[in-house]
Amino acid sequence: MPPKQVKGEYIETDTGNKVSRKSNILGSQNIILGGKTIIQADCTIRGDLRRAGAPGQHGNVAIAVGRYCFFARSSVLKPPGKTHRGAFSFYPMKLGDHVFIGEGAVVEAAMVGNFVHIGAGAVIGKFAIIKDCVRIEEGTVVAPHTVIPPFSRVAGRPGVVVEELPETAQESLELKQLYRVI
Amino acid sequence: MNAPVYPSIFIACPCSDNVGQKAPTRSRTSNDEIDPEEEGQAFNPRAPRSTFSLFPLENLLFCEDCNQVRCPRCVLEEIVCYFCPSCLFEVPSSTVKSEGNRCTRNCFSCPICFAALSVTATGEEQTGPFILLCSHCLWSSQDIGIDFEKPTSITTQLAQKLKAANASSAASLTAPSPDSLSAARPLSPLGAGGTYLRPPSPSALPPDQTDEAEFGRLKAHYNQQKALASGDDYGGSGSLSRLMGLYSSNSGRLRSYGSGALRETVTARNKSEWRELEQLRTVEDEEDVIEKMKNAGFHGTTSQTQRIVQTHSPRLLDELRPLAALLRTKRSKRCRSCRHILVKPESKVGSIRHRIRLVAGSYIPQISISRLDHTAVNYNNLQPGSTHQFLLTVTNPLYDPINITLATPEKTPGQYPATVYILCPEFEVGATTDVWDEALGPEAKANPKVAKGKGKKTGLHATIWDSGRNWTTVVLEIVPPLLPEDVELGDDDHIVKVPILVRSVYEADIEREDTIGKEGREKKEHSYWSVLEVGRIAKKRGADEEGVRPMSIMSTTSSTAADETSGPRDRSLR
Amino acid sequence: MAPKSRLSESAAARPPAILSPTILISDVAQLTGTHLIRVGNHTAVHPRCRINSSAGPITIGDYCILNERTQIIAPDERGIVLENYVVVETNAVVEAQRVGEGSVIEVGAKIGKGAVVGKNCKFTPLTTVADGEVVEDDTVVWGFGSRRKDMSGSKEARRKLVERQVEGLKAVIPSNRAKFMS
Repeated sequence: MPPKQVKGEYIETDTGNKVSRKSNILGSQNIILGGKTIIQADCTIRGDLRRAGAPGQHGNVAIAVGRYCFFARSSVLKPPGKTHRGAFSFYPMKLGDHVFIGEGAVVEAAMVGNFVHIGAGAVIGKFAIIKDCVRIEEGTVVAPHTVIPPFSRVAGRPGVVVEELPETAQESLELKQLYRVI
Repeated sequence: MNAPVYPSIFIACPCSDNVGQKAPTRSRTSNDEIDPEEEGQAFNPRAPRSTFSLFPLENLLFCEDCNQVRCPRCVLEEIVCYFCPSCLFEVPSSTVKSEGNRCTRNCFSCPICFAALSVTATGEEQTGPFILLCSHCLWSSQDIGIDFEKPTSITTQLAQKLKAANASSAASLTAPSPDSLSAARPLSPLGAGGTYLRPPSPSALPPDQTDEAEFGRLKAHYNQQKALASGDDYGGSGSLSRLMGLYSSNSGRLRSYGSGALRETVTARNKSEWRELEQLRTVEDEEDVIEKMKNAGFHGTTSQTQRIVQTHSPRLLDELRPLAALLRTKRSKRCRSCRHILVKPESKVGSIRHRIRLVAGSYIPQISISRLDHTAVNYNNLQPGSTHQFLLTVTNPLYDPINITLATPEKTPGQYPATVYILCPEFEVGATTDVWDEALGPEAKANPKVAKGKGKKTGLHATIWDSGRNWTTVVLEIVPPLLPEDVELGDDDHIVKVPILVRSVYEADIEREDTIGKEGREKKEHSYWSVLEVGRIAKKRGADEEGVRPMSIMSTTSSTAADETSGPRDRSLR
Repeated sequence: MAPKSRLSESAAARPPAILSPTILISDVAQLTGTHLIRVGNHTAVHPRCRINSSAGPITIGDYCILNERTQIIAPDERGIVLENYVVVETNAVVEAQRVGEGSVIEVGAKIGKGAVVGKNCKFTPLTTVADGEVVEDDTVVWGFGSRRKDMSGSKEARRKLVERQVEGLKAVIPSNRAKFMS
């Protein structure tokens, strides 16, 4: 990610990602940002936790992020890891477009769909799968391996679906406006 | 749940017109002095029933044929498909009918904390036996002594295990085996009533067994009733009196259970059934239950939430069962009055697309509110008696420009009315153009009718504050009431709720299938009541006599303007 | 074995540390304080994990995993002991006096000053343990502070998994033990 222009706190990449200089990005060679994604200060992104076997192999993506995502301050993105057939390995984490991750949230999901809002301080357990159009309320703890279906509002510890979101969820969860703010 | 966020805006669905007001289109002409009786005509957000007709814009649909918003209460839903929220497999409706509305694969949630359970191998190198383990609270099926030979078809295995466990525990019970009192003998009326009033304790008898036995008995009972009923000619006095006799009696041997007591007819037939009831009673021996609860201790008992989600409402933790995931549905929605489809989702489970999606946001003007001066106003701490200025922005989703008329009662409904004044109640909002125009011409935005910053702080009367391509902002002044400190107030009284009638008039192309070529334009209009929950009134403030009558402040700032604007406001609401 | 570290001029800020040669410690982990920090065999210390021995000595057992952004702080001069197989997840703060073998402190959980945590406990995300509290063996603190006894019998299996995880981590995180030993 060669910096194109230097403008204050954020480094802007060719595809319009704005990455705070104060963020902690590890293993950036294993991270793909789709573009127009904002990474705020103190964010930790563990791209170094790549899949075991064939180390350093090209295309060993640990974290793939779509477009128009927003990672607020102090949030943590970490690929989930597990022991399978006696060997421990990390597995890639995929985030769709328009994913908002609130301040201080910790995400270890295997997959997060499009138009997903993860509230501040929420914890998404290992290998959770969050489908499209989901709102996770602040401080929710989603247990590992949980699957959240589309159009769900999730709250509680552990997080459970508390409500269905209306048909307009996609519009209210899209983040194009937010990108322009930064 | 979450604390309410201010400001928030709700829109009243007119499906229950009698809530707070008459049909919004025939509303009062506003600017006369409002006397208390007249206030009834404005939408009253504090009316107890209005809660049921207020919705955020996102939750509303729009019926083109009725030209009206549709709330979740005035749509008809039809199930498009069933799916398991955990494995996201679609379940055919035939399966739902035969197997019930729960996932029959391996999807279970924890009976303790309701997180998803996962099938986990307990043996070395991923070999059996397998258990259902909660990755949150570490509850496992081993807590209730169940493990599985293979990691697939857990539902079937679980059913077998539970049956086996029940059989063994039932054998050890001294109470008569439920089989002996089940299907062969029908239920007595008292038995039926008694069990409904006080279900036999599941802790005494394994729950599934009671359920199954109960079901068998009910089935036999109704079969017998059916057979007898069909034997008589239907409606005959004999069958009627017999049926009546089942559920009421004036015999000497009365026995009541609780308040709504059911009584038993003493007949030769019922005597045997009476005995059966006795057996039911022995099963739900309270001593036994108490003893068990004593042994388990407080930590061994279930919480209310844990109990109610289980079908057999267990008292003790070791009677909990893994909860098979409840299915979810995708539903299409129709207008309740004209039956047109408003929402039709794609049937694929993972898809978020809709084939038809008529949401209110793409038909009616959207209003939003913000503070004029960010430093002066705290939404959670509105100062009573002082004028707060807000910016009310109306956004037009249509491809035609609209004329907006806003109307509000000068004093909000309620015991402690806030004073509200819209500086410019009548204005135009430009049309939404497509995305390309927006992308190509940011200069198109430079079309403000009023320069920004002009008339700062107070705003100019009858002029808009700011406008963009498809939005216009006007200034709204609110004076929150001074709340008495010596009176016990409901939480609702602390919140400033402003009802605003939003009426839009526009010209649109006439859309008719029968006319060839769309000729001419027709005038359309739509209006709705919205409620602005602006914020909370500050708790305490030095008793200020001026503040008691907020109108005085109002008049100092805008009395002349009120006169000026009275003309247009008057006209607009007729 | 590991030589006793001396406070040389170059590493004046660094606390004395006894680190097992089999340890995995990231270059960007932070060891601060003045008291001795002792870390056992096969323990993994992630990047940006903070271990602070200002108030007292810190002893960490074998096969522990300390994730990124965790804080291990000695509460007082008696110090802190993490027994073997203790896993501390992201954002967790541990100021306990002792954490028993096989206990798991999940994301964002806080163990108060001087608390004593038994063996095989589990603290689900965002839960807290009060200062000075004693938590019995096999306790699970979940949800909004509910407690129960773990009867799943999965503790042995969990330990195996921790061992495997450390092996897996060694494959992806480069260790720089020397940096902290000087």
